[in-house]
Amino acid sequence: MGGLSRRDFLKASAAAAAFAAAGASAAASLRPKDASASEGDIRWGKAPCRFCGTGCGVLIGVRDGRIVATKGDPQAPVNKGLNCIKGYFLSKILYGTDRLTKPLIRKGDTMVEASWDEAMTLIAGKFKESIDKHGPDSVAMYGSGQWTVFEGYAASKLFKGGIGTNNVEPNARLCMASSVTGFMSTFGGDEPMGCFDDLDLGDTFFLWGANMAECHPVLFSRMIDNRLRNPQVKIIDFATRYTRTSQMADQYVKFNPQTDLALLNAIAHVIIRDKLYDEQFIKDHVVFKRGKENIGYGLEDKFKFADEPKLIGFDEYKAFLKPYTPEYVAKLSSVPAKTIVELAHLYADKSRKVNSLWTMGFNQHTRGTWVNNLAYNVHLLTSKICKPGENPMSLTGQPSACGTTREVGTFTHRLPADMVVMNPEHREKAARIWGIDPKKIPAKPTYNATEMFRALDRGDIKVVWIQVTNPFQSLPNLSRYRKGARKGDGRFIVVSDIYPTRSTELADVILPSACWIEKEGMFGNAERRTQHWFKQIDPPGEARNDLWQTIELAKRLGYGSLFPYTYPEKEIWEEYRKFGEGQGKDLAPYESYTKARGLCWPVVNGKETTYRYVEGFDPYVKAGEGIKFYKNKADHYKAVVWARPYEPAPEVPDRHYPFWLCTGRVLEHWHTGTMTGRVPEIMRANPSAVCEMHPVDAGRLGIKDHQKVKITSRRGTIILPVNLNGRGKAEKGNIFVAFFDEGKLINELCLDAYCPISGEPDYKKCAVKIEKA
Amino acid sequence: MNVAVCLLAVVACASFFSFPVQAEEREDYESDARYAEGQPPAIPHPFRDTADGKYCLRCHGTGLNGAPLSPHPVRITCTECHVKGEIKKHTRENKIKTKD
Ligand code: SF4
Repeated sequence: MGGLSRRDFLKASAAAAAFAAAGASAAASLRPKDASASEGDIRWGKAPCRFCGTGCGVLIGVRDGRIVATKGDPQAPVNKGLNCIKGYFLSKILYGTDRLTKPLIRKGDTMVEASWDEAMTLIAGKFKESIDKHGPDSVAMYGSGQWTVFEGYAASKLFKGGIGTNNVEPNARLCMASSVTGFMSTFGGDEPMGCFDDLDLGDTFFLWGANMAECHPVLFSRMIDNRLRNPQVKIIDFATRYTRTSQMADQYVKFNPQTDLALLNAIAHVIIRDKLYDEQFIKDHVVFKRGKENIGYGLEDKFKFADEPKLIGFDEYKAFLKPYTPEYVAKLSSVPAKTIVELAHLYADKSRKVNSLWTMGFNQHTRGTWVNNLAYNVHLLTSKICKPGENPMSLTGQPSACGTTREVGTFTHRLPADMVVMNPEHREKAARIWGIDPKKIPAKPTYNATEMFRALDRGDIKVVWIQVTNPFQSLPNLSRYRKGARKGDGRFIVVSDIYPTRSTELADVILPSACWIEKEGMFGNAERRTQHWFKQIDPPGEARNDLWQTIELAKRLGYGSLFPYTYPEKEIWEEYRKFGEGQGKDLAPYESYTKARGLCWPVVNGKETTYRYVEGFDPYVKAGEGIKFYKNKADHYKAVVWARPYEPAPEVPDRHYPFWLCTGRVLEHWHTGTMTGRVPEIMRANPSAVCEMHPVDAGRLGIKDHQKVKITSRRGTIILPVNLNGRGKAEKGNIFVAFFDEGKLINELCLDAYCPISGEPDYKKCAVKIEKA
Repeated sequence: MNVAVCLLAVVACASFFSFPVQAEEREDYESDARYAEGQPPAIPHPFRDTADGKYCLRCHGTGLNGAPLSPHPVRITCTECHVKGEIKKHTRENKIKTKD
């Protein structure tokens, strides 16, 4: 530990303990004079961080209507005072000099300032015209896991319950859809059983396709702090790229892209072969199923898929696993057979509290649902589930991917509280709460996100309203969808955002939005924690809340009666809450959230639930029941272990395109960089995209560090400087490019193949070639 | 670094996750903010961004060359919170042509 002695460290820790025990007032008296003076007229409020699905609590200091400071909230159970670099710069994300402050309407190549009335009249006119001429399925709303709960709810209610189309999709389809279908198919209910406390309580952490150190930094710090206290803690990073996370893990297990499917089956194989499973738990809580195989990749327009699950026995499952020997999978994955066996034993070690954590490596996967299922298999076979400190945990990317898109159900097929439009009882219930005729809600889902933009390209969708997201930078196979958007012929695109983006540049109308604490909001994070914040400052110029914008369209289309609110946020919440009551999705009254640092649902009798499906923690599990997967009624309240095979990726490196391209995020930037790109400090730390490459590959091609290369896939070309020794390091035969840089649209190279079950595209695997530029 | 600032930072940093959060919810954000850590200082010199903190702690762990001591030397992913200093403008601006 550098030159710091252990004694010094202990001294510092002791000081910390003493101060923590003394509490806030003692600390306050030590505050430097100048700091207290400058904070004298600051008003402080709370909010969750605007960025990732961790949902750190933040304290925000406001003076004269402007944010002057943010601090990690020491009272917030998620982060206990810590933020990452993005959180520390929250105070600057709203103040870029090019904030959108007035509605803009396209006149040829120019965007002309307009009044809200002009803009909304034009938008409503286009919606009406399209619905009259082409039917309700010709208009669409494309929203976001960064929508507040209210915004998502209003959009879903207007489109499904008012206009009568299921054309509502969020960008969460691009990041969390496989997690949803994984949860639904295994447990019959969405979202994790565990919570972030597992990071403090567990001692064995398997990370799969998750660069937590950069993408969930505060959660990663919790895990690392746990390791500091407990030398037993072991972090194993399964990955295809040597990331900052790999560098800090105890063990890095490199595998070939797509072979995670085979590896998890090999781990299950060893668990069965060596009799490491929990027979009683399996008998009591598990059924086995097998679905369709060779299921395709969603590459064709209007691709359709429906799984046909069949119950199988434990023996059939064992037979299914037979071929996945460590030796066979070692060849496929390049992970040594010995390592596979060791790690299977570690997974099953009875003396260890085992967790699996994953994000986009699993979800953005053409077999995303399957690989989620396979992770649960291992936990179910070994009964390492539903115990404090011992759970599988799917980490969400966006701040309200859970709270809004999943729980409110802003996907084409979903309704609030895990309900779906295909189910007549669910439509009935939604209609009752919405006060509409159940016939109004169409029974058939329409398009997933990728298909929605394919439909726009074909001209089947004419009018699309995009809120709180930037699809014309973030979609895969981007060129097709960017071109499609400006094909004319009645196509009309509305984009609500706070800054100009690669999507606003393709819009016919740009609406200036309020952001974060410029409006009242609620987000739900990855551990089922719903968090509230009040409006603390005014938005600039004429910028307005997206919720107001949606309700304004509703009024102009004649659906104002669906939104009869005087305090929309609170009344929407109380209405929305009715969906989850008694369903294991219970939410508390509005007021409870205004004070609490978030509450994990189900909240029953004012008490939140940290661990689900387990007696003593979850009020839905009665005394004596132990563990009950009560959301899965169809399988007698048991969870499903799925026989899901390894199948290859749709496009693999070959002679012409010899490298795997993987895309993703970096620590400093949030998604497409719309907000973080306005913070000078962040731009200085990470100004532009680079191509991470292995030095051996570079040497073979005669490419030196920082030299420019031309990267080409079957869909596009991009020129970038290479980085041979950056924070993340590519493995041989792989390159990595981040997608935040709006000047370098790497997604033009990505393949728009998706998981047939979840509809989520795979941004992690396509084939490219590399030449000197 | 001012001793008080340093100690204050110790409270905020080294105590992460080591102490139970108060169960009782309070609404006094101002007093919470008083003992919360503010923005971590930027790094005003060239540095190597490593995963083990060794490069930074050579000085910030020992006070070598008068470097301010890190109040949380166990946190070794320094760039998780600290950015490069000396800011030059390099932001996205003025992308939409606007006619008035
Ligand atoms: S970890 Fe996520 S929620 Fe926490 S400060 Fe960083 S970006 Fe915000």
